[in-house]
Amino acid sequence: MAGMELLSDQGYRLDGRKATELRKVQARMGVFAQADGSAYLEQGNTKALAVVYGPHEMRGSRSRALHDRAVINCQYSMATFSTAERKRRPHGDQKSTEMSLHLKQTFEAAVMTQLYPRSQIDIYVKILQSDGGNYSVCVNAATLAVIDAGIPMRDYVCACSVGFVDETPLADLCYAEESGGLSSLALALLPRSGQIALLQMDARLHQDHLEALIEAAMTACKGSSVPRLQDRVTADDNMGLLSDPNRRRALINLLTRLNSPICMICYMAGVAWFMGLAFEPFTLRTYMSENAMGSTMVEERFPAGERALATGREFAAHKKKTGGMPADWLVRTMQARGLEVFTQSFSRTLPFPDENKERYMVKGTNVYGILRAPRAPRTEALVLSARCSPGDDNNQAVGLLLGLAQYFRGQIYLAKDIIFLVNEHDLIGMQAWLEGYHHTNTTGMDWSPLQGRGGSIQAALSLELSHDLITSLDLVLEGLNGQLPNLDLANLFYAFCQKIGVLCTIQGKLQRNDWDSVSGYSHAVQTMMLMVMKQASGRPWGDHGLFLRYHIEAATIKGINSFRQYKTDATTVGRLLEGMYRKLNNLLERLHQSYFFYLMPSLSHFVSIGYYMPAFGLLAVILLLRALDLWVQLVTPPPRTEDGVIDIEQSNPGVLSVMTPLVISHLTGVALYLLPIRFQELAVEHFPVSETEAVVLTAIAVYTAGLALPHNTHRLLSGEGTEQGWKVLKLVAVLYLAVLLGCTALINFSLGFILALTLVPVAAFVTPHVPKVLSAFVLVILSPACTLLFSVFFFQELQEIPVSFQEGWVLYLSVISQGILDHCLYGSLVYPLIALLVYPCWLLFWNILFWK
Amino acid sequence: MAAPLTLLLLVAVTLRAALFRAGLTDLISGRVEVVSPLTAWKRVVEGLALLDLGVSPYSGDVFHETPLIIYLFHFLVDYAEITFILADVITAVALYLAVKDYNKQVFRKQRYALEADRYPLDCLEIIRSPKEMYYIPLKVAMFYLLNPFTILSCVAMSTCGLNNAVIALFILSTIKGNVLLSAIFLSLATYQSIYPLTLCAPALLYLMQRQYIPVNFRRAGFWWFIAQYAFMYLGSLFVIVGLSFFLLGSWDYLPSVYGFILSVPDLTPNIGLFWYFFAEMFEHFRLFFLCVFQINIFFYTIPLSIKLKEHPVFLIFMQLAVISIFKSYPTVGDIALYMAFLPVWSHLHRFLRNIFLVSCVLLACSALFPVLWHLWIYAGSANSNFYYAITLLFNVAQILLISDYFYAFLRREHHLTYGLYLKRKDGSEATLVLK
Repeated sequence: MAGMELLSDQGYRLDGRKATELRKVQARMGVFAQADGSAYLEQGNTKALAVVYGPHEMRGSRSRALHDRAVINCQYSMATFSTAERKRRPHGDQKSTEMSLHLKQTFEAAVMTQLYPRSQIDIYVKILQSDGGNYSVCVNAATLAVIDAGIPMRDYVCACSVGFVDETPLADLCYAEESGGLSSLALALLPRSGQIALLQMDARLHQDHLEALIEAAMTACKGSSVPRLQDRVTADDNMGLLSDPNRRRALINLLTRLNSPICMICYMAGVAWFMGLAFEPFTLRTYMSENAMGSTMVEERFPAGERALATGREFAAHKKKTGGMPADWLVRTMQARGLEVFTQSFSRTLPFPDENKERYMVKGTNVYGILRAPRAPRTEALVLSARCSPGDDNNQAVGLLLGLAQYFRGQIYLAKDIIFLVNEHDLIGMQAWLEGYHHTNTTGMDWSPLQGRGGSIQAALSLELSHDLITSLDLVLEGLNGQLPNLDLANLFYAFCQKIGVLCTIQGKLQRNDWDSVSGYSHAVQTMMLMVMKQASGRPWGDHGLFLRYHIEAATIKGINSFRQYKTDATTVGRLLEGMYRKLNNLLERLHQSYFFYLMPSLSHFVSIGYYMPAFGLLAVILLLRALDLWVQLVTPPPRTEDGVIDIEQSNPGVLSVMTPLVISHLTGVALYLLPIRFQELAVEHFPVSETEAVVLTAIAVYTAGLALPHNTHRLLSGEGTEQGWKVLKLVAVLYLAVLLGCTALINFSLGFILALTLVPVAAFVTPHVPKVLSAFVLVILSPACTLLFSVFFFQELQEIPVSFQEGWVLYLSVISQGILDHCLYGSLVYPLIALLVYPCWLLFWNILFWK
Repeated sequence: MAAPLTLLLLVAVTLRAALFRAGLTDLISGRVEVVSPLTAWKRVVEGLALLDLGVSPYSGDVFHETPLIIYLFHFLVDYAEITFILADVITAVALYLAVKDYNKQVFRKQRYALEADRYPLDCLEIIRSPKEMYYIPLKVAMFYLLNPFTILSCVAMSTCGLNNAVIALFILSTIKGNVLLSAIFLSLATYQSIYPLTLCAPALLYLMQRQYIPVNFRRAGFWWFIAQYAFMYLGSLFVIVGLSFFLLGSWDYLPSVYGFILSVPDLTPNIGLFWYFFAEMFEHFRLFFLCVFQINIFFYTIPLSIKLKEHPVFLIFMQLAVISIFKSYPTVGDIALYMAFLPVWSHLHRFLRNIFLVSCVLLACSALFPVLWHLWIYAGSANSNFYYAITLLFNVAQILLISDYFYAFLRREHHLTYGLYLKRKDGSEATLVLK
């Protein structure tokens, strides 16, 4: 009667298993720290806990010790709550004694006891929940525990119970089946040798069936997941990630399966991280790292602000009279103040007219005076510079510079030369002077060699003052190619502003204290984004910008006049500068203690490289994940189709199909780099445009012409592009982009991050199989040129001078021309980077979209 | 096959000539990744100038080339560019011929083994086919000649190219079975930079394999052969060293060349592991760690020779890689030499595990070297730790690369003996695990 229910007509058992199917097995090793070995095993609903102590010395009566092998001591028990009926189970009842004995026999057969003479191994097994097959679960759990204890065994022991119903052996019986009155048998096997460690049968069975039953039990033991599990568990214990093929395959599977979601999350996390940088609790307070500039307090005594302003007015008058740099007057004035004065003349023809500053053929003179250090061997110098610019601009700065020169002349504490430089044509003059000072010529400018020199320059400040009274001082840090001076220079400025009580700003933004309010946070974000945009542009944002190239820490201090309620006069600014120069004068070595890579959400807080790099890293990880995904797709052999020949041919994309787009897109890049300047004359001849317009419009034309590239590439390629072909191309392009962005971010984080922000999504989603028109639109929107366009509008927005589209477009054109000029004049790397590397890389993705 | 090779040579020579004409030599020869104090062309020029002035070129602390090199350039200084191009061509052709011969032997051995039914049946997949092997020699030449590392090294006129040529000729003569030439070129290579000394182990193993002399320490024939080879090697080394002495008339060059290599006094940054470590080292530990670092290079010879005694050519590859990673003044030219062998092991690709990761890292590091150098030296914003981190990563990637190849090679051999689809005794599918 019962037999009928145990196995249904369809061959299913009570719990839905097939006849030979085992229950689900789960195991954990090393569950207790204090035992030598322990394991927890679940087999279906039967749960057992096994603990092994030993081998250790004999406990209790030593007479039980065996001289040639270890004694195995087993104890089996069941928890009170292990069965449906709760019942106290005192130790030593007959059933558990019997079970202990069975276990002992089993493990004496399996453990290499002869290795541990005169010692004892204790195995305790407790059944936590009993659902049939207690003996076999105990053996399996104990085996795991023995393995965990590191005791040598001949082989793993696996055990299984088998019952017999309707001429069919049932493997791994559960409680219902065991109690169903069928004849069952428990067997422990050493699977490798096929030896039986224990065989136990309590019920009656016909002899003919015995063999079939044992056979079934052995198959169940071997085929069960238990030995495999034991293998796995052992393996996991010993192997690292790199050398374990299973775990590594699992990791790769996970990464490929979840690729898109992980990428999305990474992207969002990267952006969120970046936005979080401006949140004040996440930033660090600035502090002075340089000991030499640290705590010494001195009183600033510069008195002559009014006189400096008068000198400034005199300078303005002479400037107006000569219609340019009043070199003679400056020389005389500086000499009168006791400086060694020299001049340098320079000339430079720009590659095309600069329409912003209305200059083309530039000729000018720099005048500089050196105040020799009275106290030291004149090996080091500091620079204070002010530019001489047309109109009413910057006269006060020159006046203050001369005033400071006169003041410093009377001081005896100077240990470094101070060079007072008045440069004409702002950066061009500065470039000429710096090249002259350092005997280099990187941009092919004509300048007369310098007649006098100070020591090696340690630090420099540029001054921009255009009003007699200013409201606050603004610190400009961004230099050529996004290089920043050591943070200590900013700290120094901030410290003195605090001390003297001058209002100080960065990016023209005052510092706010309400970081916990929304407007305070957005103010910080605004300040930081302005810095990011300026740094990304790679332009020198003040005359100091070119110093940084020569390893000289420099910043521009700019007087601004926008916060009406505050007033600062020239004397105060002079005292500030005096203080800063006295501290710089104390420097023993170049500024190096503090950070070189940072972003500043306010003047008192900064974000160091360690905090902002993860934002970029999260974006770069997307590229690596996509590359890994493609690689896995490429190396796993395609599923065999019936005509395998075609398959093999397809799977080998020619080098040509990858090389051709690579070469052509780079040639387009070279054209974008060279043509605008080369062809300006030709363009001016044939079209009604000015030279500058010609250059910019040629650049845009070449850029746009690149979009026709896929068609040209396909014409060169014979035959059709294959599925594998675009994957290889995309793999190359993605890795290329990753390396490119990584290098860019190291040199100029902001540029790298902005490019990553737009190019990484492109790289991640482009395949030939996405909807063409929409994707093409997205691709164009996210291309480097459009990024620049958005950046222009965004920058204006940040500066709170929003522009209409028309004005924005004009601005955009001028930004392009400025970028090209910056490259030709000062060696800014942004234009060649975009033209020669980023644009071709983007073209590769464009090519993939139109892959045929 | 001659036609593609000629074409390749033409392309390579044109490329190098164009780069020379483009005046990139000055730019590249300043890169620390490409030239080391041992191989810099600037120093050769300095040595020549001293020689012309009648001063011993070794009297300063600038010149560290061997006397033979300086006398070679004494005559060839006007044709230096051509010499370097030629050296690359010789290396490529020598490797081409050597690999061609080696492949023939591999194929012959495989055929014998197949005829003798020595391979398990399911190994047919990993048996090599002549079709697949046909282009390998050409690929080797291509990997050497068109490798950006080689090109940079050649355009910078690093004498590393000449050393590579000598080593390639040594490999060729060994594979062709010419004992005398092998010993002579090995002694030349040793004379040039000491480290190739470790290549004598694979050379001996290979030559003995070729002459059917069993590697058995109790056989007289074994010792007789070693004695012969050692005699030829030491004899030619003696002749070369003697010749150098007579050319210069002094032993100055010994401390200046070999002392320089072994005691590593010049800690200019390079892509190796020495400079940072010894720059940071306390002076009184220097000697100890110097010994440790130098023995490290030679030490791998013994275990590798024992493990790979049946496969001397793979051993040569491993040794070249070990030398180029651990030597005191490595340059990218050294790396290019062992990378040229990668196509020879293209049949191992299915067993490689980390190749994607490693090649990404190598690629990224190669791009980051100049960037971090710029940040450290020119911009002043990074420091030596950044650069050394990349150096370290680069070398770790190289080590992973060769250990990956080593593992793949052993695994293939294992499969060739035990079958490709390993079964456990209980019939389930097994996986090979490297512990």
